[in-house]
Amino acid sequence: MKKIMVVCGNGLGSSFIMELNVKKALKEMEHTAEVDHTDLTSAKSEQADIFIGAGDIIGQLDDGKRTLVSLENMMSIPEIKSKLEPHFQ
Amino acid sequence: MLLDERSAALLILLQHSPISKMSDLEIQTGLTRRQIQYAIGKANDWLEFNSYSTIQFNRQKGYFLTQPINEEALNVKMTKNTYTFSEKERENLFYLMILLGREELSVYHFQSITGLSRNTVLTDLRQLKKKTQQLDLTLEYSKQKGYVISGDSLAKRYAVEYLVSEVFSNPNNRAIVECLWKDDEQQIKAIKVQLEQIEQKLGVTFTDERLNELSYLFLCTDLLIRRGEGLQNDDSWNQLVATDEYRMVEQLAETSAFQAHWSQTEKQYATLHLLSMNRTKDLSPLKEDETIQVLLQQIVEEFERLAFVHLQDKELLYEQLYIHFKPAYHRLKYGLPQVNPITGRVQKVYPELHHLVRKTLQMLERKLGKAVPEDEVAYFTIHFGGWLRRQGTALDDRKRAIVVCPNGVGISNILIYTLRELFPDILFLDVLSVRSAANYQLPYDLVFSTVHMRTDALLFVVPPILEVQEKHLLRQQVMQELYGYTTGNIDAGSLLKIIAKYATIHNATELETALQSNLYSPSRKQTKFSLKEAEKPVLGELLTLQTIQLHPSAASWQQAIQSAAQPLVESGTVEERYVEAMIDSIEANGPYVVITPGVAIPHARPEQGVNSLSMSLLKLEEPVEFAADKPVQLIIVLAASDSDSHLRALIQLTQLLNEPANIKRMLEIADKTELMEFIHENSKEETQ
Repeated sequence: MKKIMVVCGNGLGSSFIMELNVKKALKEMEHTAEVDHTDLTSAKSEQADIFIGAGDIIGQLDDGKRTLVSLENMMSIPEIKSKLEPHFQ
Repeated sequence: MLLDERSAALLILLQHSPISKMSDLEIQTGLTRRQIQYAIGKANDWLEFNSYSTIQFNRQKGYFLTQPINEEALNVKMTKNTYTFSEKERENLFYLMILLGREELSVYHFQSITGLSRNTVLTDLRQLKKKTQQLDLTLEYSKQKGYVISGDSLAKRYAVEYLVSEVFSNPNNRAIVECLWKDDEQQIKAIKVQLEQIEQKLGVTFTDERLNELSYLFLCTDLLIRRGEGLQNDDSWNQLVATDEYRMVEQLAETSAFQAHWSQTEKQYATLHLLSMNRTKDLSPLKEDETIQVLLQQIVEEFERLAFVHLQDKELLYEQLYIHFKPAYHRLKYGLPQVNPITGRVQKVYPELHHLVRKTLQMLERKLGKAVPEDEVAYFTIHFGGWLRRQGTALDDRKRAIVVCPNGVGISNILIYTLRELFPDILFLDVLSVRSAANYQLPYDLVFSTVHMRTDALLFVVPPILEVQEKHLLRQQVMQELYGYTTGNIDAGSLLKIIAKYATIHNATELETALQSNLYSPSRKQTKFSLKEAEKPVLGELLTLQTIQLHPSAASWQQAIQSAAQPLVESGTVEERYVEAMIDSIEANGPYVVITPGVAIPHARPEQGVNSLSMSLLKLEEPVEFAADKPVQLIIVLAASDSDSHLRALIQLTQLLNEPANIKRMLEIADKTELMEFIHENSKEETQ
């Protein structure tokens, strides 16, 4: 099962909201994945198949190896779905 | 060979207590271990010099003297020639010398008395000059008159009273007394004889220290009157003329014990002191007796209410307190200073009790319209403390709790009443707002709070009004946490019997072990408890008319966050630095808090200044740019007190914001109440 890590600056507010939305999107897409959330600093040492978060945050995780999904609108289920879909092909 | 104040006091202490462990000495002297060891060293030098054997130590007895030191010898040796005055003592000494002004005083006088250098004395005098300014007095020097203090006679009288009281509250005052009043022995003796007669006639017994102190105070008064420092008439004292004490003073003023002419005002002044003097026995009837009796009863009742203890032998207690309270009442009413030498120690040894007594006396302050000084509070603390000890109720052993309830006085009262009833064995120190709880000084073990707040103590989140079921549950939680057991009295053995009655047991031993480990599992390392009903608040509880704001515009996104957080800062649920932290976080990580076009949820970490879980919302008519392409109109500040209590509200918020139509509608609404109602109606769903 894929592991999706939701990342935000503090790991308390927006990441939790995003986690809810990612789960909702996955459900609608009928995919299953392990979803967790964390803050930016801890994310750097975490392992996951997909890191997802706001553009300005997720850019800081780019080390050339990680799979990153950057969101414009974290509340938009359609956006999340369209950006996650390619990773489940 | 000089003996300083500390070493001298220590020797007198050791002389009187045969067994003194270091810990006892620390408590008795209020000094630190190091200071005591230093004082012992100095005292030993002195003992050796005077051919005594030094202070001994062994494990059982602690510190002790093998050879009695003649008290007289000790005292005589501590006169001014061998005695080193402390800074405080020098200040009192110089102050009184100048106030009483019996000779022209120059620096040489002070030098010869203290044996200190000119520079040290000049430094002392500069300090004293500052001190005199506190009472609007001025310390001046002139070649003709030497050092003098000029200013209002009443202020000088007050200063003399306070200083005399300070001097005599120090048990080691022989050297100072000798410096100041060496030549007045005859008059002091005469005054004492008169005062003892007054005691007999009035049927009271003053405490020895106070009788002594009063003799010197009257002597000083006599000196001041002679120098033309008489008091102006004070109308509020007129009622004193009718007292027995006043009659006594009139007679006293005629005797040869006094040399000056005492005016009616001065006699009233003396009467006041007789009335306000601490006594050990009191059989005298007093006009204001009834007032005092009633007040006393109210004080005791208030104390019982606040400390939630029941005081026994009330009759005896009233009798004892009455003797203390009658003079204290007059001291408070007329603002007479009274130095309590052990106030500091009382505050240190009985911080909780002292705190509760201070709260108790607020009622007295209201009735008298006068503040009750710490020194007087400490006296009451000693009385109540003594009584509790006598009946074996020690407050020290009880767990201390504070109650946090920002819901207003009425609700707070109901809550604390319920809690006190539920937990008679817990000492409830205060009901506080979130803000004052964050700055609370006294130590405490438990917090009962109606809001989720950040604390290192055990936190119990409770609804402001508890139902029967909840009371039961809360009591279980608290008991489990404090004592590791619940009151149910369930044991594995009796459970096994019940199970055997209705079911077939295949392995009784295993079952019992399993039950045992389940029942008696060590309490979880958890520091936060909530009752089901008081659990994670919903969005509707957090976003209210108080926390929702509508503004036309904001100068910058930083400004917008500041405005949005303002209601939280004002109510004290977050500190100013939390606002800074939210801004810093965005500056460091970019505008990731803009979770969907038009909406930002700024937040930082709980430890960056959150006092309790809270949220606020600011709606701007004009969008403000959080970044070049990120205009925001709804700013929802999130202040989480831990990592989970805010989640329920956050889920609801997500629900609300998932629907672009909802955001659109929220931006259209121009009325605060309407906006709040819309948010509440559209955030009720809780499926996840």
